[in-house]
Amino acid sequence: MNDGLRLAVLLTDAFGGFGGISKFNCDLLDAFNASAQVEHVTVLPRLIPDKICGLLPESMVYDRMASRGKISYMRRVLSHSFRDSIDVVVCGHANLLAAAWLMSRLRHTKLILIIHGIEAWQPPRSKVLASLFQSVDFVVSVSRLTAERFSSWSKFPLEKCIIQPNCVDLTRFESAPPDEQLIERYGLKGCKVLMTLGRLALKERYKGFDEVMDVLPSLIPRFPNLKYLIVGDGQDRQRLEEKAKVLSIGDHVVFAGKIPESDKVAHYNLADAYVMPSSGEGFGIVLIEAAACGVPVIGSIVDGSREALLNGELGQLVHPADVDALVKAIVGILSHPGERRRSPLLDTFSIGSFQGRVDHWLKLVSQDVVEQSVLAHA
Amino acid sequence: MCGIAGAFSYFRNAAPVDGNIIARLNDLQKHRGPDGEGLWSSDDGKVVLGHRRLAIIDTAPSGAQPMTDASGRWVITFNGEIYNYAALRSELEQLGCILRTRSDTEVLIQVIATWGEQGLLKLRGMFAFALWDNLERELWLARDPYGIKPLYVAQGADTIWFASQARPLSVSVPIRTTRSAAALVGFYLWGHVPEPFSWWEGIRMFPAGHVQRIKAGASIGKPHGYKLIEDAYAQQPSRALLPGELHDLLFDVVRHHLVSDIPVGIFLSAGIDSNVIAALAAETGARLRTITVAFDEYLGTSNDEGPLAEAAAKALGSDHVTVRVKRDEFDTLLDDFMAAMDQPSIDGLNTYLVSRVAAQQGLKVALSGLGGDELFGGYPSFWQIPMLLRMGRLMPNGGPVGRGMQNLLRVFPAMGSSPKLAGFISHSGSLERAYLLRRALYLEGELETVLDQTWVSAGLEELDTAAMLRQTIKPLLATGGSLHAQISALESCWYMRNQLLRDTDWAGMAHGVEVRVPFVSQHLIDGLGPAISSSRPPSKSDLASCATGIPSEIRLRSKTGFTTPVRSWIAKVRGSEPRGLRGWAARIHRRFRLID
Repeated sequence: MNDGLRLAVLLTDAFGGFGGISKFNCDLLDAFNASAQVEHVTVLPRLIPDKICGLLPESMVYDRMASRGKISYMRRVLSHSFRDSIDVVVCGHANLLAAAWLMSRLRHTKLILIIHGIEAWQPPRSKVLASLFQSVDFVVSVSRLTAERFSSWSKFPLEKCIIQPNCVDLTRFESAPPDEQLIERYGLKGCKVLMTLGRLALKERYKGFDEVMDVLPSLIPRFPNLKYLIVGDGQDRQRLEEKAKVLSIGDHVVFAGKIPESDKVAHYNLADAYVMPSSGEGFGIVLIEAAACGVPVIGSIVDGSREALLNGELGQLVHPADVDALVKAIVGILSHPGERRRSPLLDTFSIGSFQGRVDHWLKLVSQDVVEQSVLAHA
Repeated sequence: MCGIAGAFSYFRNAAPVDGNIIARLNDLQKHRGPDGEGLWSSDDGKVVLGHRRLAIIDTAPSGAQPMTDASGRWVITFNGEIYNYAALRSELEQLGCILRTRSDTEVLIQVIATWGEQGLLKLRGMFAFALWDNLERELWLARDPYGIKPLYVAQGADTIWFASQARPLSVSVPIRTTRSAAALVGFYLWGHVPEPFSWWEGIRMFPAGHVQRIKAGASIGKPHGYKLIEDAYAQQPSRALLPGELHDLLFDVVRHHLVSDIPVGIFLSAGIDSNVIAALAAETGARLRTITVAFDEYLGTSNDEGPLAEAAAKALGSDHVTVRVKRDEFDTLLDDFMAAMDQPSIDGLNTYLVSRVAAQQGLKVALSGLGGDELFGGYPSFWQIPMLLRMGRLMPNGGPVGRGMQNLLRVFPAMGSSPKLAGFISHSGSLERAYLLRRALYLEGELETVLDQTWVSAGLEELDTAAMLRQTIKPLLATGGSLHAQISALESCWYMRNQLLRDTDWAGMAHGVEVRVPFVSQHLIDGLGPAISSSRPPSKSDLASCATGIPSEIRLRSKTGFTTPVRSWIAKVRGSEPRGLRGWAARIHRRFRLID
């Protein structure tokens, strides 16, 4: 049994966080914990928005002091750089690359960058920061689309990018009868339900809420009991509420607000169709979650959603600007409900598959580390 | 010495036990008893007992287990040896007891049947057993006072499960076996999982010196102590040993430990402990077979135990074998070693190597000098801890000098020195804390550098280390026991019990070798207790004087224990940092993190 890797992982948020990136990070840390290549992980989270519940993976130290602000973060980066034994630095987000780069230089380690989506599609404004991307040894991308866009400006070889799509707990996300209490709460009795789940953030107007709301007036005459369930919250909510009034669809749009992770499955199972004609999704884990619950899915052809839906195998793909295509897709699903079925192709997004991919690139990194160590002692 | 397993669905309307689970446990414990296998089930299927046999006393089929007594009332599955079984047998026969076999197992049944719990005090040996009383519909579980033999227990809603090893239980029984925070933190604190915890939540070690009686249809109750080692230390009045007394005590103990129907080997090193055992064994007239493990790495150096042990063996006239272990042999053994480890431990490799050699020599039983350092003040802790406590009185933790020194040491850890240096002030205020400093792999304040704070706080709370350490020395404090005796008690009940005895059991059993430990004897500590507490406690020099003919080089040797280069082999160098024992602990943890 050879030595395992000691990782330092810098990320935006994971445990105690929410959203797609946070979830990816939690899954990644769980995968490190379950990997035979990893001995120990020190995590520096930039944020811990919510209380962390339960016990964390046992191979990990989660440095909560790092989340107390920018200065605290840098202080903790330096502290770990000087005190810890580190073999590899993993940068969980391009915004943290400067700190990760510093740590990897101080410890003379390999540097892995994880790219999720929109944050890596364009170069940073600062030329200094842009140059740091040249020092990255490995790039792990959540989607091929993001890898392509990243490669085109950074010149990091596309063939060297490792694709690591997000995963879904397929034992948890399953088809189930709609929850009567939720139907009551949202007033969905006897209704056909379209659903989108995501942050209603000002900066993230790419989710497709507007696109769905825009086609509702043309769908309602055909489906008078149609409701659009928007699950999530954020600063953009007020504008969307106003928009619903302006379009006179206020009675047909339900804002569920932010829901806990544990309620997600019940919410997906309320939907007759999950619709997300987005333009800025790096991956779109929610599409897989909905598909795992047997909900028919409509995603976007222009962003990472295409890969999440396996180029149309797991759901329909539309261009977010193509109103007719969107309407046709929705009508098609609502007119022919069919049985709730789950595609076996979803297995590629299982936790087991995720683990397998992580083990694979950790092995590559590990071999690199060993070679470097041998050379250093030669 | 064997492997036991079983279950009792004690709850009133509980379903019968699934016998396949016990059969599986038998299979997983095969290495402990390659000579035979047994499975017994009660008529209603609510009690199932399993056994894997290593035949040492009464090797005939009549010695097979689980064993039922002549009346059919009692059924036992037992792991261990009752060394005074012959004398107990005579006593029982005089009371009219009829014994069918020549085994110590049957004697054990009759001891309990005749004298009940008081019978446990009459036993001289090492044991963990489950005994079913079909008349009272009651299951007895018991373990020897030192805890030489293991007994792990898992409690379900209406069933209690038990086995000799924790890992087989964790994969067989239908209970929740998530990671125990106390075990995880305990491992980093001590280098082993301290009793009563196990690596898996829901599985616990049955306490040493305790017995539990579970009646069918009743609530399960708790084990209660029948003999605690710390009480033996608290005997008063203290008094120095009389001339010849130590020799007589040790001779009696060694003679008892040689009781066997098959040849008994002796692990012989260049240390006083094993040499005294060998010399006393020679005095009994037994034919000696001695084994020494030596390392190529030490050839020609003062660390090489081979030549000294060979000289001693020659003087004793024993049938001796020195086996040399090479570095690359160690590397190939490592995987097997890890696979055999029952629970995470940073030690055990020495016993594993020497037991392997014993097995290759065709031996199933061997005597070890384990326990000598605890009784005769062989460890550095016997002088380090008093010194630490004296310094603590001069520089109290709460005082300005103490605080200042601590801060200084925290900011400027002395280059190349132990990471625990900064802890010497914070841990010099009491014996418990000084002992923890002496034995800890990581101090409490350092744990958050390797484990998340959620684990650390949950684990430390559950472990309640200071209070548990205090519990051990409580009887001695109550009777004015000396500091030396308190240290001896702590070393016996903590380091020896949790590290040495545990490792000796699984590492020996991995090769089907029963390792017997003459110095770890309740009879011996009963005899020595008052002397250990006296102003003149027995020393290694006194021990050496018990046996004639020990070469002076051995007598004068300052090293204790069986020296191996294993530490340097396992301290892998990565970059420019030697990783040492902490790095090894991380590797062991990684292995055990992944086996679930």
